[in-house]
Amino acid sequence: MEQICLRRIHNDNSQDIESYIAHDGYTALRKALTEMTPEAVHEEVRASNMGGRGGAGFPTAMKWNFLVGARGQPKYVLCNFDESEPGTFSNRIIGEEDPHLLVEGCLLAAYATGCSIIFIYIRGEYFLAYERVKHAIEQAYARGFIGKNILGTDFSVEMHLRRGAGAYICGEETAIMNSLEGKRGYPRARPPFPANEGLFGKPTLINNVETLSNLPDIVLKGGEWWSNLGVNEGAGLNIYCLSGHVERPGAYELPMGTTARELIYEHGGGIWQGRELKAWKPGGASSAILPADMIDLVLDFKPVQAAGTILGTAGVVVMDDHTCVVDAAIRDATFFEEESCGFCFPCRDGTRVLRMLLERVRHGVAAPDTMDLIEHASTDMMGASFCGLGQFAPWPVVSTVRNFRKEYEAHILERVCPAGVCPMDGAEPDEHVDRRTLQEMLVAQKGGVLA
Amino acid sequence: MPVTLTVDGQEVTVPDGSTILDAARKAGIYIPTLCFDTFLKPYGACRMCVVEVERAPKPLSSCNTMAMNGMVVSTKTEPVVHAQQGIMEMTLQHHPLDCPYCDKSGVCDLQHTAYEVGVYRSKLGSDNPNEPDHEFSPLIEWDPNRCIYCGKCVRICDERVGDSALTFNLRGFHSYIGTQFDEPLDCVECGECIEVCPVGALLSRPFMHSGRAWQVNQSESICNHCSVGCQMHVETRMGEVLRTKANPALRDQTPVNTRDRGPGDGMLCTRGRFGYDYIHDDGRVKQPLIRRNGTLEPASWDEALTLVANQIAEAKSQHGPDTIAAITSGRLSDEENYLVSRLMREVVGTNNLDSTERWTFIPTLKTLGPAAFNFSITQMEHMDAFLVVGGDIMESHDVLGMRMRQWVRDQGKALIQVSSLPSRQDSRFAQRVLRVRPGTEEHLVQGLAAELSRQSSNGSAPEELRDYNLETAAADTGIELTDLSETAAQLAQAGSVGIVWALGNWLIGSAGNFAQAAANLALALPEAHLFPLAAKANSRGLVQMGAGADLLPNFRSGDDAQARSALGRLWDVVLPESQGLTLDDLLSGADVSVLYIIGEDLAASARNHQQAQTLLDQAGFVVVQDLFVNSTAAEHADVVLPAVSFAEKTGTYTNLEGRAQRAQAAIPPVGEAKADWQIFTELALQLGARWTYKNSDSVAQEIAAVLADIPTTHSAPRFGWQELPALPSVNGDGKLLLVTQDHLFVPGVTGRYSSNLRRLVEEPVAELHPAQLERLGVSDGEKVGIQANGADVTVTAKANDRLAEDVVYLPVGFPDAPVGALLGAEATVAVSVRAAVPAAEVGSAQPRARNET
Repeated sequence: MEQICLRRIHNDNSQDIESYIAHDGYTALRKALTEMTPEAVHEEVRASNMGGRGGAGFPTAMKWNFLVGARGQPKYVLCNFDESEPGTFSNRIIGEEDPHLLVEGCLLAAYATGCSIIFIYIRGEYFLAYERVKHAIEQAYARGFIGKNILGTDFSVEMHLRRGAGAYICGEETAIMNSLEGKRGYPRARPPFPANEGLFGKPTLINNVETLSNLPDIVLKGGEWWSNLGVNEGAGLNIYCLSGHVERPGAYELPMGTTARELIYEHGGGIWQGRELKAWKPGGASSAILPADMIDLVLDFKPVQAAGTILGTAGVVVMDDHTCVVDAAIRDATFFEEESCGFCFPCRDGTRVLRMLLERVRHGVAAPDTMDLIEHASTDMMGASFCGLGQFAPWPVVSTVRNFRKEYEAHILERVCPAGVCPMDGAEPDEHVDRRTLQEMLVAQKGGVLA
Repeated sequence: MPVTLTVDGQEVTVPDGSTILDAARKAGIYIPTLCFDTFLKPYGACRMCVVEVERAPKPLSSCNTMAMNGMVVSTKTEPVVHAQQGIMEMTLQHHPLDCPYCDKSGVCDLQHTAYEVGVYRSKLGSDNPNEPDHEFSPLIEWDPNRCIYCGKCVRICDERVGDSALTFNLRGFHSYIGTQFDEPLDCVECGECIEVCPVGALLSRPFMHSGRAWQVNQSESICNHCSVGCQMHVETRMGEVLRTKANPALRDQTPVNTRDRGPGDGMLCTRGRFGYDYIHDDGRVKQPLIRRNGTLEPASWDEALTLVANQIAEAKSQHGPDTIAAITSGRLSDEENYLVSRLMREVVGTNNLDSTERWTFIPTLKTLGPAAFNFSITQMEHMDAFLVVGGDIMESHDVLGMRMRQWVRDQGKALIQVSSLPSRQDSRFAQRVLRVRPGTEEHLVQGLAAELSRQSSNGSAPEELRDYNLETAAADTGIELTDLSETAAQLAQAGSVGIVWALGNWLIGSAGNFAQAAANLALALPEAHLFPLAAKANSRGLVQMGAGADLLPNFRSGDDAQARSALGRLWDVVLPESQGLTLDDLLSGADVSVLYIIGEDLAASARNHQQAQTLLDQAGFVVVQDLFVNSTAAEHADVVLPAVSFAEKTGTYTNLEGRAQRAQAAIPPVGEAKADWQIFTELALQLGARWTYKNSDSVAQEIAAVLADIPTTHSAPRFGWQELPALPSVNGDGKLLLVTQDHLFVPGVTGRYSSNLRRLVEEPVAELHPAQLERLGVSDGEKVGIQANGADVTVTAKANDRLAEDVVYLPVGFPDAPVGALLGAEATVAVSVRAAVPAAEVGSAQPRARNET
């Protein structure tokens, strides 16, 4: 089966430039710089019909259009390597096993869109990937793939690697820029859009690692070839990150448009321990928890959206029939409460409200109207939150209320957890943590410094 | 191009760049907000202001979405109202709703907005953390429970004050308002964060729990602490001033607000916001005092005024009117300075009337002419670059300093800071900092003027400047020649340059010289404007009223016969022609039989301490008219007449740009004290005048007629040369240069009676370079003794590595550390500094000083 991003990862020393070059590495860069105009590269990307792999699926070529038309110098490429979505690890594999692929992709994007400075913003906890990307950049500089007059052409570019400090919100396309500029990781209002006023107020192209890593093959073999790799009207390949209660979890680079059934049962080996599928998520923490009967859903941006949720990062999470959906929902809710940046009211307060409501369900002390309250709070968060975090954070919670209503009724009205997971001890959850105490705890945990 | 859109079916046209919220409010449609403030940039965090816009996929926040032609906006749809109510419920869930005990109740944005969106409690239950308050500073406290985390305090501190002292710490629901890394709060303590807080989370510690919004009366007033003239409200209850705050009308939340926000742009500094409590200080004189057998004893007004009137009449008949002199103050209103001038000139019959403006404002005026004072803060805002010389305006004119920070940061204006002391603008706002040797500011400016005029006239400097150049300036000021030539080049290319200097203590003895140097520089540049900043709230009014020995109204000179006869006609007297005694004349040993001192603590003023003592000792009869028994009154007064503060009288104050502003009486006088205008009137009547003033307004009407009759004559500044003063020298004898300037938290003698401000600076502190302290064998916080001019002052020492090594900085305004006694007649003197012996060791066998330098 065709592989693009994961093609080289099992090679010996795959992270090294020698290995990369031995396997066609930097040939796309050479081709683009010596045989193609920036417009021609752009044209191939347009022909590929690629949707951005960061989660929104926005057409990559269209995003590039904005940048080409934007005024201001310098222009930046910002590679979003702040992969923090639970259940998602495709970028990490590329960064750890094939960092030069990413470097080459960044260079192609910069060439096509007329950018002269590239920033890679990598998640702070990706220690190995950081070291390897850093080393890759050094090697590429040494070999003249980055720097002035690359490959003897008049194309010059500089590349910088920056680490995050542990905030999920910094994967948001404007918060990442604030963070890079040394500001608090809060999202910015749009407009102005990053393509016009992005990093340091200059035009900025922000693309995901996976998006950029597909570029070398698109340049080498053509956008049309790439596009035809998809099935069920999907374009290209996509890395599906499969985790949870399956026999063979892992990253699978499959044609875009593969169904969930094929992914879970054919590639993932089915539900573990011979159990039944109860629920699953198509795309990381911020997607809905879907019931087993939606297993034939085509995993592409549009079909998943039509089903009322998002493909997101294509981090598919599988839950077997021993799972309690309330328990599953509260894990996501806790994650979002922890990761809400606190800038806008509906997200800051709403993520907490949802988690508190679920906490009461889990302990068997929820009020009868709890499902209504969850619906109301979720509606307000989705409609009014400032950025995507708050708009999508209620999905894993409210979707369980909608898709698994009976289970909630059992928790709330009968005070029973059908899966036998929740404590149901009738205890009022105690939530109050002094802010100072919390900070002291955090500092103590991290030994006073962030690793 | 105006933009037309439809809001709730109503067509609205707004200027380009308006937001949907602007348009809705213009149409009279209410959209709730919590984090929005016309004072701040749009933020979009509270999401209360969401609206639905046709063809937009989701509701949009109206505060930061631009209005566009043809937009169709709905503000009351079901999803919008649902979101607003939902957000309010979430907010109320963790807000304590302790409204019965909250200072903000009644003027609380959260209360108001909850009322408007129809939510009074949270269905979600209560989730209040119940944490203790955090004391940020002696004046500012934060209640984490009430905080709704709208970020206004963080934003105003950054966007308007420029200190960026507050921040959000941690993340999400657990974030809290604090300082970066929980360091102690280091800021100008302006309290803008309290003012902007929509709920009762940020609190004024002096004001807490002293009155509810509906119990207080508000009076429009003008801040009396410096000459910027910030408009404010005095809040009172039952005759007591509870606090002062920025005039709320200036912070009106109507977005399309073109109202002039006044000289202070609607802000106040720490002095204005917290320095009000001297009004009710226990030290206030509440009734007249007469010295009997060496002690000041209470007396009636009749007794006191009769005694004063008799003394004046007797002195006049026995020694002549020119043995009687008065000293007035720039803290008095226009009306009062006008009346004291009329009292002395008409009723007493002498021109012996002066003030400390003699040391800075008047020489500046004499050098530059009245045209140089014909400027406005708006004009200042339009300069492309600022050359700020001398005292730090963040210390002396804080709100103007904050505004300048905004011009620099938001509008890209250049700021060049020239001073001998570190300033609050140095690190983050000044493009260039020139740290000159103390007392050589005019040498630097003169050098730049010589260089630039030489450049602009192809090598030939004007006659007046030919002996001076950048090399001599570099040698005199201690600034590298390359820095000077870069500065000159920058100024030449800057466009319009504002030359700004505060008329403060640093100028004493050289105000005229400096003004001439500044005028030369302005004339040498393609476009430059002079901005001399008056010191006291009504310094400018005092001069304009003609309350100076050689001054007549509207900046006319005392020997201007035409102005004098015009004034004489209006007053129906022949005015005395004799040369009046200036403050300098008085201090250099004039024979005075009656000395009438109004609003000035002469014995503690920053200059000529010894001479002031001599003058006061030798004067036949001393009358002090003040709020307090200051050191002059305590030691020298024969009669003390209790005057009132700005809050107890109505009056006009003319700010540094010449804007005359009214302050309304907020409370009746404390005790038996009387307004100065009233005291002057009663005294004049006792002396046989036929004045008919019933109130301050009737004086104001007369002033209007006088000013109309005696117009300003205009003469623009010219090139000129004045001998530059000798360089202050330490002569290698191990002495240090004493430098002083205003201290933001110590606004003059009155400020020392404000216990709020005393909380910020409890005692005077001398700052020295750490290397110097080490040489003296003194560690940070120990005492040093400073000696000069026969005076010896012992103060706590503090290390400051931003000072030059041969400099010691001691701020003015502390009666317990009289800088004036050390300075003598100079702005800078060489002083001996030594380690002071702790009290316990005095008299023991140990040597008196460990290490003298």
